[in-house]
Amino acid sequence: MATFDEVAGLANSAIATLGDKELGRSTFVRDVSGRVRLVIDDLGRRAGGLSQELLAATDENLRAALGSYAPSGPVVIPASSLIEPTQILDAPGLLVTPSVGTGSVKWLERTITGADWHVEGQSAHQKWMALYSFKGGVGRSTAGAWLARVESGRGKCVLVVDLDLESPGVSNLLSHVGDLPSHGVVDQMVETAVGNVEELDTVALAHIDDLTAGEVWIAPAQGRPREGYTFLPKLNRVYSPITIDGRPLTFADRVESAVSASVEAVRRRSREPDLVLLDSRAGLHDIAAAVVTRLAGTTLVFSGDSEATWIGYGNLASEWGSNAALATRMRSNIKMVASLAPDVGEEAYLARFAERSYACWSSIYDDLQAGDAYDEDAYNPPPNDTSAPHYPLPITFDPTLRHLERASFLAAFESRVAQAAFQRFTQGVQDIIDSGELDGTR
Amino acid sequence: MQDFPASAQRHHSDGASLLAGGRHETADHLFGFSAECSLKAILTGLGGVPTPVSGPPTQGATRFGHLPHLWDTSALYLQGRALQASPTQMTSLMSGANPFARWNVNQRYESGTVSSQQAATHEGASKALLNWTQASLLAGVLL
Repeated sequence: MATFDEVAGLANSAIATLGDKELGRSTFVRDVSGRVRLVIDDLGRRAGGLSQELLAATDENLRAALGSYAPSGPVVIPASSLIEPTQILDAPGLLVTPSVGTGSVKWLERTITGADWHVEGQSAHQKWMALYSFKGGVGRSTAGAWLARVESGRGKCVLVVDLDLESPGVSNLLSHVGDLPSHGVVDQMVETAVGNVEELDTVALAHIDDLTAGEVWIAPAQGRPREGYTFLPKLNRVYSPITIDGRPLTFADRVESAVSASVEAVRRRSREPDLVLLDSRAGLHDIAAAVVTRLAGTTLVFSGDSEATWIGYGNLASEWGSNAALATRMRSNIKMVASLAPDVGEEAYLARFAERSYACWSSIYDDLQAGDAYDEDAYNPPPNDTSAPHYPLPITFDPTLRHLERASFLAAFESRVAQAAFQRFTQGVQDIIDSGELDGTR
Repeated sequence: MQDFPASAQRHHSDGASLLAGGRHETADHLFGFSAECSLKAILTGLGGVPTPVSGPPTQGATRFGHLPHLWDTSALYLQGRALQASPTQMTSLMSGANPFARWNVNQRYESGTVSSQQAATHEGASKALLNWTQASLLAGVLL
């Protein structure tokens, strides 16, 4: 019985007798169920080289190899039978899956969700910084609120956008619930979808910056709770692709548009934000895919040191590592944060964290060449390189900093213990902000 | 054998041949049929259609009928369905104005009604629908 991970190798073996001459730009398409079809390149001069017998034999071989992963209809689809064959043969999302042998045939993955994890070449927003974690409960939102407050103390105008849409909360660290704006990110997304572009009240000044030169603005996921205001019916509508003025928008486009609207609202009411913090949803979720891979110029990756977490980041790193351009971009974007570092034995904890983090993220570093072939332009920092993406900025774990809301958060901000817990983190992030780029870009 | 995707392709390419030969009125007729077949391929392929979409008229009630009405009912039915795997331009095609608003199956009895420009517009819409059908089949979205 061929299972999902074996199918690609089996399919490539089944066509191993065909050479580049027969295959041309032929492409495997793995559909939303995982079933595989081969769109065979029979365009132009190639058509003469592909006999009906050859197509039939290839179809038969592939069907036998694929087992349950063969479609009910034909496995081999001549490209000439498609009205727009180049949409398959020259598709932008073509992947060379590393584990599929030596064939020159590329793979096109068709999925309903998750496509943004593979998106290449998007222009990220340099001032947008994502806060992301594979697992929840690692202090991501608290650190985000803390960072916003510290940056406002440096005179910056900071906008904190709550994109943890299914479990929002960062706004409640920074504002009384009664002072939240009347609408949130989901309202912005829903109203925009139907062309309701009238200015919505989606941002509010956080009540924490009384003593500072800067400002902290919040864009919560939902508006101020009140009679007649709903959330779930809107949340359930934000994921669908939509069309505005004839322009198709994916979920990631919709997120980008909503964040941009909040940025514009702050600019209109005060000034252009110097820093936009995006509190992403945890896990390998479409929100995170959009925010981390597409939108943010920098992503702080919050993490404890647990096996499950490293397996999770490993999945992501190997996915990015299979695409050189994406790997190069992501390693210049991310910085690990060890957000649960122990007070006692921290040095050993961080050393171990860095080792495991390196083992995980080295998938997006360049391969080191042996001996004379050493390439000095290759990027592959050692495990103990503190400036490398995998090496963590530490936040000392402090049980009093859990389950905070505005009052207790502001109280914590005056605590020297808490200040010490966050000091190296905030300093590290300031270095990133002030340098304008992360280490991997240099 | 009833085969909506294959029929959509056949009507489209026959229409394209006629149009290239300057015979735009019958071409236009075929582009409409091609679009109907594409829409029926998608409606039946997605499953969950309340009653069978009509094939040949002999098979019973034509609940979804012909274009342009079929376009509007399809747009309603398809709205919000999980078609992300298909080309995203389809969401814009289906949410826009009905490109077959002036197409009528009875125009085959008329002469001089259909302009070549109208036929060219219908060719484009029929091609886009056919592309969507084929992409959806390849993506495994259609049953």
